[in-house]
Amino acid sequence: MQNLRILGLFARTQFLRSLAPRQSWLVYVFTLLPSFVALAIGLNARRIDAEGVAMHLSWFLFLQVVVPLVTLLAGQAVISREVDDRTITYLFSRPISRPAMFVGRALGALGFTALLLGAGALLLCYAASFAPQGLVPNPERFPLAPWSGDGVVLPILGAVLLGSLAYTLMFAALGVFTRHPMILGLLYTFAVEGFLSNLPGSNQALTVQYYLRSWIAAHGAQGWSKLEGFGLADFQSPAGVLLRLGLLAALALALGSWRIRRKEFVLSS
Amino acid sequence: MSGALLSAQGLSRWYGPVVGVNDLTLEVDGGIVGLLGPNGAGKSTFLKLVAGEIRPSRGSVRVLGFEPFANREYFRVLGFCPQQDALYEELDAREFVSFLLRLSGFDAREARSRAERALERTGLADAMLRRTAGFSKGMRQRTKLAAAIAHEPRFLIVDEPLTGLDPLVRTEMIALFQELGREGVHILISSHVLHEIESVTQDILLLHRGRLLAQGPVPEIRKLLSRYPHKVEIHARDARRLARALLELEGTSTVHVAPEGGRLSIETFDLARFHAELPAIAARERAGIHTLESTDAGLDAVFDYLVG
Repeated sequence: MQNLRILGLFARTQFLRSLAPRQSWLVYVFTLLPSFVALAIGLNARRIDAEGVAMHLSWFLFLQVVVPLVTLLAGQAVISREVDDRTITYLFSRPISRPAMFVGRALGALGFTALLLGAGALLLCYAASFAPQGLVPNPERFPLAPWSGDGVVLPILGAVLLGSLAYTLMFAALGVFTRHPMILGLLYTFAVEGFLSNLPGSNQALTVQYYLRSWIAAHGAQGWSKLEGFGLADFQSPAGVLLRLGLLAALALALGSWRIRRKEFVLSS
Repeated sequence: MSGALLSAQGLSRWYGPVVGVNDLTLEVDGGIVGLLGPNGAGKSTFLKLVAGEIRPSRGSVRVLGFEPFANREYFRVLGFCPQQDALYEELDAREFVSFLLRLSGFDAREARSRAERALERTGLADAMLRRTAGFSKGMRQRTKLAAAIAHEPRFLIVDEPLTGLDPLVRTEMIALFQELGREGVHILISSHVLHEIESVTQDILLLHRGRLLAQGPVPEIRKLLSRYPHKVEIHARDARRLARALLELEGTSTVHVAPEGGRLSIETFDLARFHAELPAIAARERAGIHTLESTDAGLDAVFDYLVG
């Protein structure tokens, strides 16, 4: 009971802390950037429609770049920010369960990234709906309501939320294991997720991106199959995606909790 | 096991090739204990070991019967005021202290009430609703101290609490430590500014280069230093005449008369005899002593002698 209370307290404080623009301005910039790009394209493009803008930008820019970067910034900070700010001393001299603290903070960060990136994805779709050369959104061609079953917004939203879950918790755990999670996280984002996920063959299954693509392929409209990388036939089923990403998230929490239980954080004087 | 507040056996801690503390064996009974040493002596490392922030590389340390590292039971009775100025800048002082109290198990209402009381006690009653981001060094120290005492710990560790404070705040902090000591809180307080710590306690641990150099009450330590002369300074009407007479006194090693003539600095190996004989000598020589001060009664002198 006490651990649950601590977990909830940390989740709430982490979420509120993350919202502060002073801490997260870069995260906000990254999240909003694709929407501005979509709007610029939508207002100027002649040969691409709203669905095309939304699909291309959400896959190539939002899901492959923005989601990993935003979750990296928010997730790794769960512990490393406490270490960098030297405030971790206060936490580790209190009678709390360290794993509860870690899980609480990680879930708080997850709430923040899921909310922010989810909103960012919807905003991107809204901005894309100005295409082609539209000055007003076109709700008939591109329904804005994500529950409308258009095969574009819902798959994007689902993939963004799944990506937030897997990446945020993974990077939160990374922050427990290393003093330099940003460097390692960036290497992972671009070398593994960016490169490996686009190589042909079964190695793709080692990346989160593969499962996000699988999710979209299973739920998306026909138009998705025209995008590079979506022509593959051996995608995971939605249940398989949920199972594997869920396991990955649980594993990240378990590893982070295990490591933080006895880890020393040596702060220089 | 002994009933000591704190005991260390062969306690060592190193960071790669750098030695923080080296083979410390000691026992501390309780009360207010000063931890002294120059920068780099290993004070902060020792405090981190005692506070359970880091674990020993070798040897062991026990406090109140607990092994400190990551020990939740121990943290219930520990108050730790670290050296660094870090606070949660987005919170006000009351929120900061309340948050840490909630981690100590208090509900929101109790935490807030205790936080207010602790902040009042450290002199921050008027500023407790201000964000800590705008706090001065002294206010930060008071906030940290409030957080460290708000849950009424049995044992308080305070790392360099007086560094950088203005004299008024320093005096208030010293008074608070003394008050806490009277209330029965055991306090381990570190400083490299010796005259500051001297006003808090006479009971010291002296660290140098990661080793324990001396331990005990200042006068006891001073007694141990019989191979070092005691310094006494005298202001007298006829200092030169007095100097000549004191040179003949057994145990006197050096006598120095200041150029202006009225001040004498004497070093003696037998302080008791010196004090016993001085009145008679002064009367005989009609030296007219105005003041007499044992200049090395302070910790500065002890420390200087020890680390020479």
